Amino acid sequence: MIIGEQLRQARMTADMSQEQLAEIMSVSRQTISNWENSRSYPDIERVMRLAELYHLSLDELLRGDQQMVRAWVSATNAVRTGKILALLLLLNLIWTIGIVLFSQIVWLTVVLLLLLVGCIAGAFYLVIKLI
Amino acid sequence: MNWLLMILLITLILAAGLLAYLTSQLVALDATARGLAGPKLLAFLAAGSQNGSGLLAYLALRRGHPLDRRKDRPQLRERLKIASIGLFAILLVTAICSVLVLITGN
Repeated sequence: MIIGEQLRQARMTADMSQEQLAEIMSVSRQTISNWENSRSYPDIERVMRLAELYHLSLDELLRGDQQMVRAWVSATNAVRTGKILALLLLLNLIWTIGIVLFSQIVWLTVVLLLLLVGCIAGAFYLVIKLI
Repeated sequence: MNWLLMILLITLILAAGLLAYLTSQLVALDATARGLAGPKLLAFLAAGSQNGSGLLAYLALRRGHPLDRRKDRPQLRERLKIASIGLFAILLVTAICSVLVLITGN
């Protein structure tokens, strides 16, 4: 059973409204509705809190919902991609400063320019990947 | 060499224009899927920036707006991403060739 269905059933069993659950979880009622209708997924911390609240095991909640697990993996990859993007942007800045400082040394300027082009290409690829 | 440079410049301009268009389509698709207000305006502002700062600003703006899978179009999204990356590669190669033609021409 997908997690959305399980969450709805567990909430009904616990005799809670979406508003009450939203208050406990510190999210909006719309977010609870999105979770229960599988329009979006809770993050792993909230899934653990829900499991604790409903006295369900994580295994029960997660088994059968491979799509949510894939969404988590994708979110983790997005965080890592964001860090690499930040690093590339910092490198862009360093290469640019290097070009300005060492503009009289031709070979060094060419090398820094090539590195700058490489970093810009990498940064663009990662931005498109993140969207 | 002038004709070669002209062809390269025209290719550069076409690639840049198409890239801006495809990037704006990608941002519009993502903004619609996340329920952000004014997706077309966001797309225009994000893709229209010269140095990519608009795209970075969009990535920061969309935090806290999760993707609604009912509104998403994953296949179109993938096609737009592949096309954008391809066009960027063409842009890069054309720019490098233009610089080389200019240098060797001198």
